[in-house]
Amino acid sequence: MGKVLELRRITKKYASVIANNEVSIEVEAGEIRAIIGENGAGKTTLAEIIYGLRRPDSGEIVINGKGRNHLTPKEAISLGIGLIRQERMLIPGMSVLENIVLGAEPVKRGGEIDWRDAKKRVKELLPLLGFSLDLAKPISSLTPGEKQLVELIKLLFRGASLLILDEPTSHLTPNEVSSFLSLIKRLKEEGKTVLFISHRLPEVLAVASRITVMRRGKVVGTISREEADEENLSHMMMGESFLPPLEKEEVTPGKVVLKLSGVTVTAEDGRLLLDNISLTLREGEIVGIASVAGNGERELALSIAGFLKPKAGEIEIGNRQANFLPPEEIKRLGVAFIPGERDEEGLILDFTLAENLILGYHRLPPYYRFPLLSIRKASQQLLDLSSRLGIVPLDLSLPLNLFSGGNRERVIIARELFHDPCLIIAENPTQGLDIAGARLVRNLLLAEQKRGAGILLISPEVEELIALSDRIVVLRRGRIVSELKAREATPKLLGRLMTGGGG
Amino acid sequence: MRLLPLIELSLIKATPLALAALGGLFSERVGVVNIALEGMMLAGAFGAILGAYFTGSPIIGVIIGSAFGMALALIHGITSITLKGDHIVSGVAVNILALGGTGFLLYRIFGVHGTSPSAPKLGFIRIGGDFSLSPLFLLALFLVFSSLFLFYRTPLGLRMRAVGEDPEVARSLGIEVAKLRYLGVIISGVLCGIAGGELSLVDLSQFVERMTGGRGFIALACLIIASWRPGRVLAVALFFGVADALADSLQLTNLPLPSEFFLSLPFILTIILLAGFVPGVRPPASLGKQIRED
Amino acid sequence: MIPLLKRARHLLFVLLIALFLSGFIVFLSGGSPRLFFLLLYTGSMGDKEVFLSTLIKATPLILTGLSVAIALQGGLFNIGAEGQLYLGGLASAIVGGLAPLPPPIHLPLVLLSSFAAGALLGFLAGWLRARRGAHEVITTIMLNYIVIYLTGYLVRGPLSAGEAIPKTREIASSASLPIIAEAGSSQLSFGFIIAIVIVFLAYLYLFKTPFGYEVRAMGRNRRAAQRAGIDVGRRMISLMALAGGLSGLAGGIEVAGLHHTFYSQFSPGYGYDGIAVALLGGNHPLFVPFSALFFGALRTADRTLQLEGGIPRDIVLIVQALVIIVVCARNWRFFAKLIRRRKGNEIASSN
Repeated sequence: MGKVLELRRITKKYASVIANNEVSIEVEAGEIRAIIGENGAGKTTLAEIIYGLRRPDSGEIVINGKGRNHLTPKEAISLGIGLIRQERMLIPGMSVLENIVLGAEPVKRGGEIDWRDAKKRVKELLPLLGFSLDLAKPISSLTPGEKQLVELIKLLFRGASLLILDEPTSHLTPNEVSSFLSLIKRLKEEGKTVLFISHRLPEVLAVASRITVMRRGKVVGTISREEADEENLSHMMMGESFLPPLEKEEVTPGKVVLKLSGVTVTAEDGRLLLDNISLTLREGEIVGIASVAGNGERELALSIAGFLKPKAGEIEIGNRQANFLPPEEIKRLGVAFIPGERDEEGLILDFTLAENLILGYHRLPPYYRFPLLSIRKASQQLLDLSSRLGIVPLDLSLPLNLFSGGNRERVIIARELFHDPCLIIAENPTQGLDIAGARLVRNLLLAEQKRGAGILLISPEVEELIALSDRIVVLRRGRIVSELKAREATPKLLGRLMTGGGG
Repeated sequence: MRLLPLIELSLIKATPLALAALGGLFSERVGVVNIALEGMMLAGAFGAILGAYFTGSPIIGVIIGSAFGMALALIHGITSITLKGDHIVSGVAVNILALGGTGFLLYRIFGVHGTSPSAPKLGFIRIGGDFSLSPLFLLALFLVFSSLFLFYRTPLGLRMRAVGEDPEVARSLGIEVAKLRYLGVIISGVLCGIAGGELSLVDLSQFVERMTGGRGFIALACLIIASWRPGRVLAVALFFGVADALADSLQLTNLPLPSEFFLSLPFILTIILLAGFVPGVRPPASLGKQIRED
Repeated sequence: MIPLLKRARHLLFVLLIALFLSGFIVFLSGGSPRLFFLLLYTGSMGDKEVFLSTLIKATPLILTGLSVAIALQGGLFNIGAEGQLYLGGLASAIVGGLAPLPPPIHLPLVLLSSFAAGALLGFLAGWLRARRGAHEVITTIMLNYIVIYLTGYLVRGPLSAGEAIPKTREIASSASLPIIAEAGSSQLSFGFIIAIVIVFLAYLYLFKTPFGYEVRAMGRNRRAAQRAGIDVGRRMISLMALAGGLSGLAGGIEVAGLHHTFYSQFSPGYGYDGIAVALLGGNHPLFVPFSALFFGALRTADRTLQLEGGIPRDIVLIVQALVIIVVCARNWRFFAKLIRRRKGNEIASSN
């Protein structure tokens, strides 16, 4: 059948980093090819280049024999290439059907959109996916798993034959993952070629025929499924030494730092976001919150931090009633909030490193001596703090948009942990970080636990929850459906609980 | 206060608002904030007089007016879309440019300050002998229906809405975001230019400096109050038109209120409506945001 | 924060481009660009009289420029500087026209009242934005029209001094600002010094206090500022009030230092000029005076330009618009790409 895609020495540089460094890959028609690497290895950039969302600085893309040095999404689609990625693929304000046909609308004579034909064609595709979908539903009401399927329909609707899937399973429950993997195999049987980009080795080993490993923008090598196993793949992905497993110590819990009793939070339209939540967290404890995205975990974090006021129930921090306290007050009680949307909520990218390190604490000493704010006097402390967390480059006057994602997360953590909080709400703290960065963050949280802080850990990665937490609370539709000890939890069990059994 | 003349006057007052507001709709629906409705209207008013004066035809005047409006819209478009400038700042610049540009050209072309020489008026359509209807109002009506058809029934309209909601997603589907944004802005320029033509050619038949007098901003407020929906935009514009006409008639009666009070009424009304509108108003999600390229 | 030197270079660059484009427009409309630039210089700095006039015109521009600049730092567009200026002017004329009080009391009272009047308008717009979601661009423009009509009526009627031109009574001499420099018909008042002092106060506020920090945070990333515990609503309201007060003060100084009365149409658009002044200065307090000086020069020279060059005073507005466009353009890479593509075509066609 021959090569369907060939990349020759693709190079893409950004200001401070080389995302793709002379990447050369050949993909055969009809294969499932995995591209693996840790966060920051350059996989997503490569996917975007193949699909035409980014232009490489140099190199060639050869599709079906014809070479070119860059693509546009329009050309990619017409060549049968499709891309699924995590963000920015569906428009919340439009319906499922509108999202599917956008850009490839069937038209009647006269120029009007032929909705009937569109519906017919979509319905014909559904059996392949083994799934039924209400086409008129607004996107915002779909689960991540359903959204994934809609994206797949989009690709098939346009007749895609080369499907690039960038981390398609990161927001799926364990059961959804296995159905998704079977789906990929079925697509291969239909003659599609799949580029499966992931950092999750078990999944990759389940479906791929060949595996290409990338590290720091370069291709380390390509091996066949038969030659691959988790150990050598990890080794290829990470290069040097294996990192030792996390050392979680036994810590005896102390006083209660957080107590939620019957907390209920409603949206403006009356929808229940949190339903009768009762939870206790003590000093030295890590409680993990397991849920499918959008089931109340965000609202839990926001209400404890003071951004959402509960309609019913009580929130106690320490022994103070915190229901009606403004966020600034709650901060002063010793609560640190590490928000999940790092760049949008936790940092001000146009501000300097120093200015970001004091954000939220700018009215407290040592930065504030009435009536002036003096960053200069505190600069030595800030420098020490930054170097302790390995923030690079160590320049307090550099604007934060010049720092990498991993460093930005470190800035947030440095800032929040600096004041020795008694309660830490950590939302997706290792999102998008490479292995070394994720390791650093996890160790920091464990160190905080040892120091006696109580930590509420919200994470979509169940393995991370199991590794770090003492107890795990499962949230579904805003309600606590289960609470169990971490050592009794397995990913499969949690997955079942998160989706209500049966997946 | 007889009903028929009141309705006539209301429509005359409402038409430029409706046209400008609908123009703003096209621009903002694709995500480009356009506060330069005022400037584009002013430029259109001038262009219309220019065209009508030199060619003797008011219809050509309106066309020239729309061209002037389009030219300013193009400047706004280039500044905010291609040069990625802040949409509001760019709009402010266009307004100032219109003010200065029309005054400048008024002097350079006609040799006067303040008020231009007269040009042929744009006539009304007479209905039943007693009632005059501006043809431009019919245009506004037509635009409401055609915009609804465009946005909800055609591929172009669907894509424009998508660009206004999430240009990143639109881009990932091969839609040319910049082109569609330009299209929306240019349409807004044309419509505002025509609205300006209504002002200078229908009632007055002259161009007076700063004659738009804030109507462009009231039109913008109409757009916001109407939640960016075409039918509602017309309704809100009509409401303002009626209010305006009522205020005019009130002024003629012998109330002990100064003329400035009546002149301020539309602005006071705008603030009250803007402040009081119901939450649940939803602008196009990507309004004002820049797109990442590469 | 961009280092100051870089910002200064940027300001100069923008100015040069804007001037070049204006000269081009003069050329297109049949005039002589050479004459334009010459008259621009002689009309604003040629002798002591016009130079002082430039400073006189720059004074309110410094304040309205600061007003718009600090609001923009917080992400708010204060287009209402004109109305705030008017109301401030009227307030100071009223207070200044009261029975004479000892100067150490009367003068500060006059200036304070102008600040308060402007602050009131700003507060209103800020409240409407923070608590009602009404965008300040529209509300401030609406308020401008309302205030200008209102003050127009007041000086025509109730507050009129009874003369042919609608204006208030002359203010008392105890309410007037002392003159610090004179040449011909130009009298520069102490108000200029006050404006400069306020420049430094604004700088301190913005960069050395936690309030200014919160304003700047809110202006760059409102969500992150909220998550950091900053009360964005309250900051917005106080920021608009402060900005309004500055423009009001500009009006007060115009009355107390220059006209000694308030009359209808007493501002040729200083409030709107403030927008261009702020933007050219990169919204940074320390650069606003230089920017104000430039636009003050433009305004002073416009009479010379008109009389001796036949260039209508609207050129001032055109220059402003060009400055604003050049300042807000971000994508300079576009021109680089354009040049590269042109060169690429050359190479291709020469093959």
